[in-house]
Amino acid sequence: MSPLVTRPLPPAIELRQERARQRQEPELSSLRSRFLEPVLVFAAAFAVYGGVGIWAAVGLEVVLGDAEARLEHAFSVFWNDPSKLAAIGFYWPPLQTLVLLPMAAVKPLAMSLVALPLTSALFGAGLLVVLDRSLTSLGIERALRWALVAVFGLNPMIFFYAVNGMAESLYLFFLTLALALFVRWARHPHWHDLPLIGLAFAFGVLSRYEVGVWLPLVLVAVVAILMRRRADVPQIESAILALVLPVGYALLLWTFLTWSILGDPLGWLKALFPRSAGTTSAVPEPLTGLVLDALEIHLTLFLPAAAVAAVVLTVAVRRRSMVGLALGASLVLNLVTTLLILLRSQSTTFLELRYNMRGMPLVLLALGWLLMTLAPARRRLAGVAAVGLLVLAIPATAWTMLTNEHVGAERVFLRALLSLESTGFVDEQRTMAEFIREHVPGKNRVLTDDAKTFGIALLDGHPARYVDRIDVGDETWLELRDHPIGRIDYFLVRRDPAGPDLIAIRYPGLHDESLALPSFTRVIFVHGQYALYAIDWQRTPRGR
Amino acid sequence: MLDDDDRRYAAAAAAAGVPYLALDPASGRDPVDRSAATLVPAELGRMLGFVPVRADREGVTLAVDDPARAGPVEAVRGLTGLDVSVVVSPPRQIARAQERVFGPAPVHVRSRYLPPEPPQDVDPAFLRRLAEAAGVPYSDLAAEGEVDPDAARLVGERTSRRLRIVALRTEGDRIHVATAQPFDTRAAATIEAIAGRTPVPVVAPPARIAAAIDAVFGPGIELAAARTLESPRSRQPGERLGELLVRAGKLDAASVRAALAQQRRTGDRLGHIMLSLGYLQPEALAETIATQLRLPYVEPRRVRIRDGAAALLPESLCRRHRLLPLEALDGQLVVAMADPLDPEASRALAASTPLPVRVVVASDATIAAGLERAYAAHYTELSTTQLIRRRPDESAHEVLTAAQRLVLAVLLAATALGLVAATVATVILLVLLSIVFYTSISLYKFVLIYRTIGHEPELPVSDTEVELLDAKLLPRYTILVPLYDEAAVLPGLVRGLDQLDYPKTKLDIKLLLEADDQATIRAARRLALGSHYDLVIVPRSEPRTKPKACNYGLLHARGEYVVIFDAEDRPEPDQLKKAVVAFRKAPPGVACVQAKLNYWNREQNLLTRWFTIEYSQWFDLFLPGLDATGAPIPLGGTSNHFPVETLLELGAWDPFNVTEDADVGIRLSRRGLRTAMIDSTTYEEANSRLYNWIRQRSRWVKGYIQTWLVHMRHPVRLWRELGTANFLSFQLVVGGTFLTMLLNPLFWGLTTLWALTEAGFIRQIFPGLVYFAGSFNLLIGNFVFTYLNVAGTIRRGYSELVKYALFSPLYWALMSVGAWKGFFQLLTRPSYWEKTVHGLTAEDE
Repeated sequence: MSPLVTRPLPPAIELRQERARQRQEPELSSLRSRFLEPVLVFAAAFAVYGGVGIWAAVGLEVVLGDAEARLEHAFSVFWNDPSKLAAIGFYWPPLQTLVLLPMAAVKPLAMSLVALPLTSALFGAGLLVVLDRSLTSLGIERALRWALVAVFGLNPMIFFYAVNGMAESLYLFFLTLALALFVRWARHPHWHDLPLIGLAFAFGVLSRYEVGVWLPLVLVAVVAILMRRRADVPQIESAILALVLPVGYALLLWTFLTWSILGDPLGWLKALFPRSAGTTSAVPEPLTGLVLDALEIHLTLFLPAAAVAAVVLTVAVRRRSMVGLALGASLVLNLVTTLLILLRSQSTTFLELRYNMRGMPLVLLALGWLLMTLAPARRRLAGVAAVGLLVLAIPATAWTMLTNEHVGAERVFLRALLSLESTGFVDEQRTMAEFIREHVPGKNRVLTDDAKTFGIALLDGHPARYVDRIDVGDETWLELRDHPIGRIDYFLVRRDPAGPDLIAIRYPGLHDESLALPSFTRVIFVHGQYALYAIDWQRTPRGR
Repeated sequence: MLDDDDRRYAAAAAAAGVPYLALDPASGRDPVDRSAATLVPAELGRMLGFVPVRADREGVTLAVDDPARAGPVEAVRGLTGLDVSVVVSPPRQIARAQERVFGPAPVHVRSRYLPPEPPQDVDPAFLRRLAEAAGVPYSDLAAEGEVDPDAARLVGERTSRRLRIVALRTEGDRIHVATAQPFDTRAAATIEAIAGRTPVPVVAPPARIAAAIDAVFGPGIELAAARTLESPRSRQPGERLGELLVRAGKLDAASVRAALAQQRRTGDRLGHIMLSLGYLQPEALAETIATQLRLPYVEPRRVRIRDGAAALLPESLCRRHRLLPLEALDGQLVVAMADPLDPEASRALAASTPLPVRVVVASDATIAAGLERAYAAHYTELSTTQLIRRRPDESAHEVLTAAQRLVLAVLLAATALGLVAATVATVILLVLLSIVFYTSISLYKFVLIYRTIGHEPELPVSDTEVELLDAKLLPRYTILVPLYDEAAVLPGLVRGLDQLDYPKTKLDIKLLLEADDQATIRAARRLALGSHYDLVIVPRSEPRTKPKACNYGLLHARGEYVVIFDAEDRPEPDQLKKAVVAFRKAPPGVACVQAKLNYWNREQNLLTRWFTIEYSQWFDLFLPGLDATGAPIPLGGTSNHFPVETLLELGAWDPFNVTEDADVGIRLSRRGLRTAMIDSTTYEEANSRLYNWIRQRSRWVKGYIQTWLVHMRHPVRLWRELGTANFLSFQLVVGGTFLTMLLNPLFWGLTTLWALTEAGFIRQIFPGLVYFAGSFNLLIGNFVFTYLNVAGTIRRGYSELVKYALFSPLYWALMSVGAWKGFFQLLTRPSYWEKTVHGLTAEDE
């Protein structure tokens, strides 16, 4: 048979080479702005945050209990026996623990606590990239936006939460991403922006529930903008679905899981609006005092916030800009959220600085929008003023971190940083963990309340040795606590001056030296706040 | 015992350095291999005076009387594609051998098509001057006895006719030869080699020489008539076509002016334009062209291809240039052409045969019908087997190869053994593998779709680029529309195709009709279709699949590019132009342009809404994502545009694969070629009835399994051809698509069972990490896919469907039903084509 065609096709190898050549063709300048700048910003921020974070965690032992507890949960997901996903916990937002999972899978990273600063540095650097990209899309010149981003990134609150492994860097990243995408969509709508905003909110809510408060604001703004664009009902309906669906599914799923595991479907909601959270003051403060404290914090924690909110709202009303209005309102919403929570809980817990920093990156977004509205000549001047304001905010924020009565670990961090002295926070846990590792072989031998002793199970490296509530659930755990003889070999108790753990509540003698020990226990090892008690005389280890 | 002939020709062979072969049977053994003779048409052998004596895989050996003649060698090489060598044999022995292997020579008949021509001769005065210049005698061969028959036979009839000489007499070692070309040294050398004597030329008129040959050897094939190859280009039209038509009263002047105006815009042939405008019937045009070029015109009813004529030209040449070999008589080939001024066709024709060619004119339709009659069986065979012949490993004519059966048997045995020896561990392993696969697919799909965010991965074609296209430079475009039982949708189809923004004169629309589907054939014939439509009747043969019909149509394609549309398709009017721009802009290696598919009846019911949502995600997000990564793209069923030659080179569609589209996409990728997406949509009719939908889905899933099995016959080769990334992509996209649909019901069942009973064995088979990954897929993966459906629907702009995307999991359940049906059908009827019924929307409405 004769061939069907006579013209040979080019050999495959030539085509592949040609394709490779074409891939190299895109213009360098375009590549630089699209890829190189974000990579540079990310790399620089990650290097600084990660480096300082590791030094702070390992050298200065500035480790926050909440962060360490989440890491221990993530660690237990992989290293407990049997491993259980349920170890992530079902009360606080799960994303912080989930993002720690990859690092927790590597034992040395987790046991050295390096996983904490690396994870938060990742999102802290991501936050700066989002801000840089947003400012770029708002037309802010490179030098100015780099200055704005750098000064913002060096603000002590932002810096601290980008190095300590807490959930703040996560939720700030997702909240800022959602708002940045909204600004982009409002200016140049792309089909994918609304679904991405929805996803960013979903992740944000799973990092910190109150991020969801910003969703209705964005929703209203989106609907208003669509109506202004004469969108039809199905378009508005689909936009609402795209925004709400991910958050709705995330919360529905979370509700289902907390219901199926804890039997309390709305347990997570109580964490968002607690009727009475663990208060830091013995006597509840009057509401007026709480509100005034909240206002003071919002004014002093980040100096530009109030000013920018006022200016943005004014300009937005004048220009009838929905984007400006939404950005201004998002800054006000930060204060409103705090006030609402205070009204509900009447607790000073939510006056802690970290609960009031939500609006900080949004200030930068709003600043970018403001600068965009100015003529180029004025923009430069206003930009310099904005950088100056952000620079002034650094000592102001640091001062608030050192002096405000509602500070948490912020003061410890700054003092450790200034004095270069270790806090010794980890040392007690590590010593106890080493003792147990050396003297208590086997599984399920130590009953402990992981809400207080999380660090020891983590630093031991063998969570299976401990019977904690995460591992077996409250019911079984309480049964073992109440009837330990012959079933458990040790109690590990934290003698916390702020409050006894659940074992010490049941057996006060373990916590209060003025009371007698339970008859079936004997002190084996005490170091700092931690004490190990043997349950059965016959099965005590040969201790020192 | 050697006779004179043997000696002379042996000497000639030795002089030429070619072997000599005596062809007469000796000791009952025939030196001519009869099977070799079947390689070439008898007519060709007789006309060119050779006989094939041997053939093997490497080549074929011909016995010729003159080794210097290139004609036989070129002709046989052109026809067979084999290497050709020659041996020398005496012409009488060749003639006897031809009688033995070809049968008796046909009786000389007159041409059905050519008018009798007066004998041509050269002016005797000129020949006298020529003789004088050459210093040789002149003779008009009028004297009786001037030609000595013995001398003439020394040279032989064949050589005499071919060289147009006749030997007059011998004198010692010299032989006097009458010729009209006394300076032809090549002829002199041949005569000397054959006769063993030095030729002495005598100039004589060619007609007298021919008569002398006839007198000695008897009347034979009239080669001496000096009908050299007649190039149609040598015939310049005397009068313009339009003028002729007006003068003949076939057309008025206004129509001619209108056609000329269009010609200035499009650059098309005037005749094509008149046909496309409906001013003329094809036969009238052909007749007028014949008159214009002073060539014979053949009416359709007179066309009868004489035995053996079709074998004298390569079928592919006839198909490509619309040439119809009618007869081979008197040493010349009569060929019908619709456009004798087509230079490419003329060149190709001249290069394809050593015979002088006489051109007659017939209409395009007449030629197409003639080709169809002559080659129908060949076309059918080709459309079914061309892929099997070229690349048997890539054809789905068998579901599993022996090696695959062995591997499958080993895997099944190992699984059975595992289940017996360590039941739980084996099930855990299977579950783990499934979950790893699920997770990989989910992540890969997500990454691909993410790549489409913020980019336009389609090959960009702007409206301006489409508008700026010069109609004169547009290539001819073939549109294949396979039809079966589609009489009802034909009018809508034709309306849709007529709305295409492409010059009709450059469209070649083939409606592919099955021979046994008389209802559709009748409906198509009733439709007074324009000249750019062809009704191609596909003869009934197995497998009865759409790709086989498309292959059949592709063989008739006249365009530079080809695209398939289904009966219910409504392509966007500028799609062909966009594809042309895309091919011009595309980087080298792009061999297919895929337009997007979507549905026009999306609001009909819930099923059509879900189907639309699925297609929006697939064509607007997923395939562009594959395109962006350069991964193999399983093509959509229609609206994939190819350069015709590339597709033919690829072996066209696999007629045994029921998702031939997806298969072609993978084969393209294996050749290092790729597919580009364009932002143009073809709107189809979404299946609106559940059972019809399930049948369609079962075919798709069956085809995906076929495609995966075919390409996994040699996994290492596939990996080498695709590269690691694309190999993995193939596994996840093609393998993943059917595997997830098949596995979904199993895992959904286990989840439901667990929720209802908390059965212990389920906990056992989902230990630790397996459980985490499974939960991730169930809780996150399913949501992500649902949400991607939402995203795809938003991207497509179908806001009103977004809320229905939330219920996609129910649709996935239906997909699994179809998948299992397809899987079982693969075991029982692998190439059975589950026909999708179209036109249901109109029925329902």
